[in-house]
Amino acid sequence: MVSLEKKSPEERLNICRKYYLGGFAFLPLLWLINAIWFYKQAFKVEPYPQQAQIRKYVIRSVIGTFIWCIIIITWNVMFQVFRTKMGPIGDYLTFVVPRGYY
Amino acid sequence: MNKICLLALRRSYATTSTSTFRAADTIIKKTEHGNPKPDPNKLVFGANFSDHMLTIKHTNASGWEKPVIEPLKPFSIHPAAKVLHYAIEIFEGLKAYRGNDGKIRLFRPDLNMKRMLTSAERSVLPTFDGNELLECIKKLIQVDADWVPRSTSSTLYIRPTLIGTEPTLGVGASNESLLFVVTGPVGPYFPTGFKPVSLLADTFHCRAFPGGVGAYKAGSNYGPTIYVNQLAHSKGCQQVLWLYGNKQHITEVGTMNVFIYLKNKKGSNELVTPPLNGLILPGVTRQSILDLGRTWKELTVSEREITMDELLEAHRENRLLEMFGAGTACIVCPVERIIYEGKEYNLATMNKGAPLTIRFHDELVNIQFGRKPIYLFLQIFVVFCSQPKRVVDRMYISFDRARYCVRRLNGTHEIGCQSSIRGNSGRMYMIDNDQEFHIYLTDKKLIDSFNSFIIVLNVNLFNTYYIDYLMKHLDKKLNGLLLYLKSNLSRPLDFSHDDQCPNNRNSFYLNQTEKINWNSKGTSLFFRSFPFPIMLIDEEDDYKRLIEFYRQFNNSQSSPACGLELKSFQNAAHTTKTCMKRNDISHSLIDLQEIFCDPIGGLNIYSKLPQSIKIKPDQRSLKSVILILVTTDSFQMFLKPKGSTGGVQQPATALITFLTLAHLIGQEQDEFKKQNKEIIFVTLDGDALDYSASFKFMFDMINGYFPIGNKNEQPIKIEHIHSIIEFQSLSMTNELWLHTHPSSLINQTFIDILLRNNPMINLIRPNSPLPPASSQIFLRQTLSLSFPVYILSSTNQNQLLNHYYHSFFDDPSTLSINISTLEYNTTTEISLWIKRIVEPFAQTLIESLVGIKKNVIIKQEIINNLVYCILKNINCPLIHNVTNQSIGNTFKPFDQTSMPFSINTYPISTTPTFPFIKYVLGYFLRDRSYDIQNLTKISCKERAYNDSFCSYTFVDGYAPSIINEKSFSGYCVRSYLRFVQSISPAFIIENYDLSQTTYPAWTESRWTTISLRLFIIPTRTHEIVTLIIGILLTFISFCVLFFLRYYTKISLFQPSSS
Repeated sequence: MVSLEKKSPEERLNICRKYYLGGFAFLPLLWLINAIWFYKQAFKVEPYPQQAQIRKYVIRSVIGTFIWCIIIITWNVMFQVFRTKMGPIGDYLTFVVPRGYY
Repeated sequence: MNKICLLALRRSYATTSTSTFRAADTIIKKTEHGNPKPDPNKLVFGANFSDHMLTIKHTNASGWEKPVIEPLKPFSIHPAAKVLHYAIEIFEGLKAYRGNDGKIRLFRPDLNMKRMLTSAERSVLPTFDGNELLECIKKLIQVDADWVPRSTSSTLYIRPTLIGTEPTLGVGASNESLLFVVTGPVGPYFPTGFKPVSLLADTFHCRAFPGGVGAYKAGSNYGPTIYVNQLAHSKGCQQVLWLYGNKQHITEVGTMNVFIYLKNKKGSNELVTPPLNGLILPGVTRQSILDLGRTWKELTVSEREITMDELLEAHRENRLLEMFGAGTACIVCPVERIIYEGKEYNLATMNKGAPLTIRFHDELVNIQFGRKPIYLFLQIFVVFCSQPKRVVDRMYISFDRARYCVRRLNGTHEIGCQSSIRGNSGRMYMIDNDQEFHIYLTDKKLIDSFNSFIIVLNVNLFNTYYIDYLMKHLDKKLNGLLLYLKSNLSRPLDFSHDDQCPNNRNSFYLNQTEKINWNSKGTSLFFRSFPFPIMLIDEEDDYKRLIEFYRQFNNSQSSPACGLELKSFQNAAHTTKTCMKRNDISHSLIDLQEIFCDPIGGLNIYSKLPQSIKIKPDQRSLKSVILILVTTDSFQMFLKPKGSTGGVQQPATALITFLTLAHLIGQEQDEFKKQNKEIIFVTLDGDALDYSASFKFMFDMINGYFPIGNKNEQPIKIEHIHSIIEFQSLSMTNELWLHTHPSSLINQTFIDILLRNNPMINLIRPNSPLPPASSQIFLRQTLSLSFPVYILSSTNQNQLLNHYYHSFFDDPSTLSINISTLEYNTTTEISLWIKRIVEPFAQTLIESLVGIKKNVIIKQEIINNLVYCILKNINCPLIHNVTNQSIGNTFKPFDQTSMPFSINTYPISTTPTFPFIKYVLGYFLRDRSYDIQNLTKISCKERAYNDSFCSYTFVDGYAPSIINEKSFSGYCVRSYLRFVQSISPAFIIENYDLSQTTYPAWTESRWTTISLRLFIIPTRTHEIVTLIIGILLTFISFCVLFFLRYYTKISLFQPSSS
């Protein structure tokens, strides 16, 4: 990964913004990466003018990631529990149909 | 492999062309149900094929597609494909050999690949990288590795073929092609030692000519030789010696290269073979013999032209030593006699036993099977020291012949057994009798000492009482059940897992106000769903092996115990509805559509005398069709791929009776011509489970699909049915019972004549409940308003007289047949009994339909033959007599197997039952006026082409007794035969909800592996000691590594600087 220290603050902000906006295209992993990658820049390093905005994007990315996690985990649990009760739809949604089990 | 091919010259067989397929791209689709492997000692060349094939498509537009290894199946090819018209086809033939070390080897496949490429170029077919095809073939053999015979003489024949498939009729290069490889096990060419051949040296016909394609392995080289070969056969020779030109140059022998070993005029021994001058196929065996011969000092090898004159001169001067052919199939094949220009020459080849020929043979076989003598000592030494056996094989003892229980499903339930995907295992505990059973269940300490048990139970205890008790008491600790039969003498008196009232699930029973237990000893265990696997061992050896281990390891608590692992994982679950739905699901990303279950059903086959066909618009009069029914299936809880399936009293006896009656009707066909009723013989397959086949039959009849096949034939509807006669559950009883229904429609005179003709038959009072029979459905679907039904059965008013109803114990011994001494024409009690039933029955039919009394007699021999074919060996002379050679050959793989009576899932499972019934029934009901018409094979075919109502088979078996055997040369059989798949209408009607109960919806799950293995569970101390030793070893190895690293100062994590 490119070292952020070598980039100018404007570039850093630009990358962070792009990742943040990209995340809205149903790409929660971008938010996750954004949050981890820019964590130091947002909270740990010496303050610089763009830091406030980077911090804003990082915090929002974390929140977005968190919401996505909840959605995915809930769906997963629901699907596991209710797959057999969903009947045909459950089977069509299943990618690898389990052999020998309902 | 290269090491084995020591003689292989390093030649490049890869093309420089950039267009090729890659073996690494191969898509492998494995079959679910492998076919049974044929006995390696009874292989016929080219008749058996492995489960898989390799196909690679090519189009000029997009090049080679990915290679696909898939289950063997027919191609669909456009009728205009060039290969079908201009024989744009080339092929290769090579073999895979399994050596004594278990390794599979190919013999110089590089030469085959090279030749295939040159052949392809000559036929303007696409070329490829030979290395890649070779890798693909290796993959194919790996998939079918089990098909390479474990034998010192049998091998796997590999046939790569390349055809032009472009569907245009112009003679030109094909821009679409298909490369495919099929394999199949083949036996040794000479199973009983060398058999020299005689040759016809033909001076007129020629195989190849200069500028032709003799040097390429093209299919078009072989077709035209068959005619000449037949000429040779007619002169008592096996093969043709191909000559060319005015000087009669010797070129090839049959499909082999030729070698002549002679003392030349200079007095030295010379091995001569014709050179590769364009007339000779560059054979791999030819090349190998040349290479091998050149390493031997005692002879000179020359590739030169040799003429008949030179050969005969050497023969006259006693200089000819040996002559032999060489090819992949036989390796070498000695020649002892030549017919040339009308004269016979007996060659000297075999005078001293053909030492050179045998030497070549032995050396080549040793190389092919990897038995090069110089390595032999080393190999024995290595094998002796290392005993190369996988740890798994040493841990487990397998019982391959165990019977197993599988899963079946209907619209709402699943039945049968299920194991986990890796098999269920647990501590083995053996219970032989009631006393031991209760001792075990009260032994709390023992039960608590293990988490899971596999209970090994005497088969006599397999009933609801003991099973319920075990399941309740052990609960989750019961991990599986193994049943054993001590010996055939100790089989239980009653054994039936069907319901007490069979097929009662949808209240099919007519007139049955209260539940009648027709099968009063039935346990209904077949219809239970068990969460654990159940298996059964019925071979005495297996039982002895099992008890030996058990006794050895079950002495005390401190010694290791025996464990068992049962694996019978079933793919389907829940209900038919679920699994049929899952069959249809296919995600586009995965090509492979997975199949979970198959609908139960086989074929409904029907036939009648061909004279009685009604063609539209000829109206069929009402009540003019008599149906005679019999079923061809049964079920049993415990299956076995080979071995008895039971089903002898139900339905085999009835089937034999039915076929015998068909023979009698055919025999007396002149009588039946005098009246206007049609008698249709119907076999139903699928009735064992809820009468699916009968439902299908009625469904077809109601919808106007009966009889199927020709739209111009007047359909038979319910109102055309005169009556139904059914043979059901015939046991060899002194009395038989005739069940009739409904009383308002029955024909009393028919009954009276029948009872008078056969005093064995008792009449059950009309309006009594009907026993389990297919007619139940025929009546129910017509509300008992249309026709009467007569059921002849060994079932009295309330009881089936078969103690083993629907179980594998229902075998020939229950009819007091000793199966080991049963021969093709043994008169048994049962065949006498059937004669006593069928003759009066046929008389009754003639008397009541034609109105004359006639004494009909059937030859005892015919019944004996049927009994032998159906109960012992379906590949019997009868089936070869009523068909021709090519059909007869399809029965060869089923040699020494009785007709299987179990649940069929046609066409997924292959059973010989249907072809057998089709050919025998069709033949018995043939138009006998054709027997004496002396039709030739060609005119028989013409008739088949012109007449779409009847089938014509040219039979070249044995003569029927009518014809003088001396003038017999095959005859044409004209018969009426129709068959239709018998799966329940539930699977045919579109958008039918399978959970409904209008029609039965039985399916059978698919499964992949079944195994039963025994292993030893070590004691706790043993386990702890092993663990400690393991930890110590790990620790020591770390220490050693640490010290080494310390002293050598080499860091593993940095590349060395040197």
